Amino acid sequence: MKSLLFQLQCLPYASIAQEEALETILFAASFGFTINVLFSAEGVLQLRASQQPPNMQKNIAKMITAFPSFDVTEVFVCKEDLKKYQLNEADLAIPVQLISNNEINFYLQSFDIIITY
Amino acid sequence: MVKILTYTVLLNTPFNKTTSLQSALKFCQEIVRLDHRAISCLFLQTDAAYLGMTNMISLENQINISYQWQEFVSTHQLPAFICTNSALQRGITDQHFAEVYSKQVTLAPMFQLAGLGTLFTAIENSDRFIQL
Repeated sequence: MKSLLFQLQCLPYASIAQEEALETILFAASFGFTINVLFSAEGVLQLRASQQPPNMQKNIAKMITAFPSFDVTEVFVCKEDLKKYQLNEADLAIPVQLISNNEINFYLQSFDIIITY
Repeated sequence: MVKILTYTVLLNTPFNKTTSLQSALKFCQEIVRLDHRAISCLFLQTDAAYLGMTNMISLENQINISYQWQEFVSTHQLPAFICTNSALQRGITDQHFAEVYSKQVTLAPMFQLAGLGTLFTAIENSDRFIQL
């Protein structure tokens, strides 16, 4: 099957589209694709372990902690963007691998399909 | 005989981003001009779902981008789908869901509601994937 990368670049809770993006990732994983997820730009904020979602919205960090049980274990975060929001790995909901800006281009080339939300 | 390349097109652009949607439409028109079977799946998800709504009205001298997309889809009879979850959350219902939730049908007839399985099957089976 084709290799898939999901890039998440938007703020959590900015719109219901964010929740749909995460549901799409979990669906693709259960469909049998091998999946990588890359959080960059404002998207790194989705990974914060301590989140207080606005009323009635699903906690995005909780949805992200479901990744390993769907075999989504290749989770990457842009190192510079993480620093920009004054976060470090200990603040994040799941274990991630850090990737720096100058490695990203090469990393992106290794996928058949890239879907960005 | 030359084998044609098949495309899966995923559209996520919100319907108010008219310029992006027009470029996206031009791109799709060009693929279809080269071969009318080239788009094997056009899938609208998240805020792009609004493009499949009937009764979108544009005021005088404004571009009706939904109408342009709908016309494009029906002219070429493209296999065009809207993510069911995205559609229902935005008030877009087909005959079936209109009955289930006692609402009016708001889905434009050239589109079908479909699950994500349709998208990922198409991705796996087509030569190219593009997100617009």
